[in-house]
Amino acid sequence: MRTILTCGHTPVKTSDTLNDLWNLSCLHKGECAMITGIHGPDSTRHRLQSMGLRTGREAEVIRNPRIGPMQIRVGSVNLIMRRCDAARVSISPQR
Amino acid sequence: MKRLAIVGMPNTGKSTFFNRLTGSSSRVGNWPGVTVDLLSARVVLGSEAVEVVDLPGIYDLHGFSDDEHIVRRFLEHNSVDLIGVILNASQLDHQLPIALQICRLGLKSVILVNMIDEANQLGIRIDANILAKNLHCPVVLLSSRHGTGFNAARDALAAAISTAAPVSLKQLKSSLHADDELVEYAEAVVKKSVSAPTRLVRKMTERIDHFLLHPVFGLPLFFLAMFLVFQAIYTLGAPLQDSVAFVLDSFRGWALEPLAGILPPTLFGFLVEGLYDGIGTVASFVPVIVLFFFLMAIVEDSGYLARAAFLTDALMARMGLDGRSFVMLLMGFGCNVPALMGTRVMRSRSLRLLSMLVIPFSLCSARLQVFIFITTALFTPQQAPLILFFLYLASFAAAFLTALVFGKRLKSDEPFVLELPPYRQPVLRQVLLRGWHEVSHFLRRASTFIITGVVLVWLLTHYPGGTTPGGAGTYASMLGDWLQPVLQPVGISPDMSVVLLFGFVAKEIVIGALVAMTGLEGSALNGYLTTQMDSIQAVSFMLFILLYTPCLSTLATQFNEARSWKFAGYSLAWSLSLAWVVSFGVYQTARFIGY
Repeated sequence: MRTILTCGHTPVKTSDTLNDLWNLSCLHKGECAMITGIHGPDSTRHRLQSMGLRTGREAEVIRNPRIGPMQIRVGSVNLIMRRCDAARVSISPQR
Repeated sequence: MKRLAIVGMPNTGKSTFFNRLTGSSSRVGNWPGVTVDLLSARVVLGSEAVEVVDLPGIYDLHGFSDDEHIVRRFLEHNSVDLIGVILNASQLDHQLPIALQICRLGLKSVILVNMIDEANQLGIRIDANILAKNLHCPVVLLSSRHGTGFNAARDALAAAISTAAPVSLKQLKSSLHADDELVEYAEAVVKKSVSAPTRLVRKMTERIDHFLLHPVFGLPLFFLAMFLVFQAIYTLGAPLQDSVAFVLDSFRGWALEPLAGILPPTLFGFLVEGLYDGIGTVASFVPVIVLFFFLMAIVEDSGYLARAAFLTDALMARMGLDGRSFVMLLMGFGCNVPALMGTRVMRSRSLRLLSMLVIPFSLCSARLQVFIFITTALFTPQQAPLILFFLYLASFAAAFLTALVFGKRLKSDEPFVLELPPYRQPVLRQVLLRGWHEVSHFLRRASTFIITGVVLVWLLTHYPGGTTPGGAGTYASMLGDWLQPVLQPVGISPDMSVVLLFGFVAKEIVIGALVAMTGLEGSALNGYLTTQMDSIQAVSFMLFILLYTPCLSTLATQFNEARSWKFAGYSLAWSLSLAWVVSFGVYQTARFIGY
C-alpha cells in the first residue's frame, strides 16, 4: 500500500490529511469503492462534494494512467482529477 | 422591466438555451455587485418585455469559486423576478440539489430539464409531473440543441414571469439550507420521478476515448489535432486577413485619398495615415479571431477540450498551470488575443491570471512574419530555418520561465477536478453565434485602447515636423536616441529602436514602418537591414521583438479580461525586462566569445 502520494513537487503524507489509509488514488483501473469522507480545507472539500463526490456514493476508477490525472465515475458524472485531489477522498474498498 | 436569470451547472447547455431564447441580440454589460461582464438580452415573453441574464455556470450556490461568488453577489445586488434553472437530464441525481437551493431561497423558478434527447437515448425516463409536484414549481423537459420542447419552455417562463414579483436577497449565503438535507431530499425525489439503467453506458464516448485518451497515442493525437486547428486558422485566416486589408486599402484609395487635396495635410495624415491605417491593421485581426472562436466553439462543444486538459495536465502541473492553460498557450501561436479570451474556461482567478501572463510569449503569426523577413535578409537559406526553430524554442522557454517565476505568487489552491462530458456533435448555429459574440465584444471593448495607442504612436512619429514618419527630428527618433543607453547594450541601433515603437502597436506594421521610414523596398531594404545589424544583432533584435510585448490588442485584451490596469502593466513590465535581459545576455555573450 502506498503511504506517500505525490502531486507535482509536494508530497502529500496520507497520515496528515486522511483518517483512513484507503483513498481514491489507491484504486486501480476498473475498481469500485464507497466514499466514506472528504478531507482538506473547507473550500476544497466543498468543491469536491459539489462535483458529486459525496459520502455514501460509489466511485469507479475509469482511467488511472501512470502520468497525469485519473478519470473517476460517480453516479452519472465522469470526472478527471489529479491524484493529490483524489487522495483527499477516503473510501472503503469493495472487492 | 422584469428580469429573468438563467442558472445552471457547467455542461448543461445553459448558453445554448440562452442563445436560443435571445438570438443574437445579447450584449455584455456591467452589473452592480459583480466584477465581470455578464451576457444579457431583452426579449418579449408573453406580453412582458423581459431582461434575460445568463449567469456563470456553477455547481453549487454555496461554493467558494469565483463563479459561485459572482452568482451570489448578483442575486444579492440585483432584484430578480424569475430564475430559469437549467439541469442536465442525464444527471438529475447530481444536479437537483442546486435547483432545490434556488427554490428554497424563495425565488420563483422554472426548472428546465435540458438534453432530454440524450437522456432518452441512454434509457432514462423522467416524469415531469412528479418532479414538478415535489419541487413545487413548473418543470419542462426539452432539448435546446434540437429545439424539442423549447416552445413549451418559453411558454412556461412567460406564464411564470407574468405573475412574478421582483425579489432581492440580502445575506444570501446565510439563508441557504444545509447541503446534506437538500442532497437527501434530492435523492428521494429522483428515486420517485426518474427511472434509469443502473449503469449508464455511453458506448460511443467510451469507444472514442479508448483512442483519444490512450496512454501512448493520446498525446500524439492531441498534438495532431492542435496542429490541424492551427493550420486551419493559418491557412484560412491568412487569405481572409489579406482580403480585409485589400478592402480597407481599396476604400482608402477610392474614398479617402482624394481628400488629400481638400483636407489640410496634417489633418489628412492624422485621420488617414494615423487613425485609419492603424485601426485597419488591428481590424485585420478580426478574421483570425472569428476563425479561432469558430474552431474553439467546435472543439469545446464536442467535449474534446476537457480531454486535452486531461492529456497535458501532467506537464503543466509542474509549472503551477493546468491542462487548459497548455491548450491556450498552443492557440497563442496563431494569435495571442483569442487565446487570452479563451482562458475564460478557467474558474480560479489566479490560474487564469498566470495563464494570461504566459500566453503573450507564444510566437504568434504576426511575429513570425517579421522573423521570416529578417532571417531571409540576414541569414543564408540553410541558417534561416534553424534560427526560426530557435525562436520557437525561446518562446516556449520564456512561457515556462514566466510560469515558474510567478507560479508561486499566483498559486491556485483550487483542486483540479473537471467534468468529462460525453462527446457531442457541435451545432452550427451555436458555433456561429459564439464567434459573432466574441468578435463584437472584442471590438467594442478594445477599441478605445487601440485608438489611443494608434494616435499616440502617430503623434510620436510625426511631431515635431519630421519629413518621414519616425525620421530625424520627430519625438520617435528622439526617443530612439534617448533609448540608446538602454538599447545599445543589446545591439539595437537608433533606427531599429523606432521600429520597436511601431511594433508596440502591432507586429504587422513593423515591416511597413521600415518601408515608410527608409523609403526602400525589396532587396534595397534587405541591404539597408545589413547596414543596421549583423547576424548577432539580428538574433538579439528578434529575441527582443519576440519577448518585449506582443501588440496593443494583446495588452488591451489582458486589461479587459483581467479588468485590471495593474495586471496589464505588470505583464508589460515583466515582458520588457525579460526581453532586455535575454537580448543583453545573448548579445554580450556572443560578442564576448568573439562573434
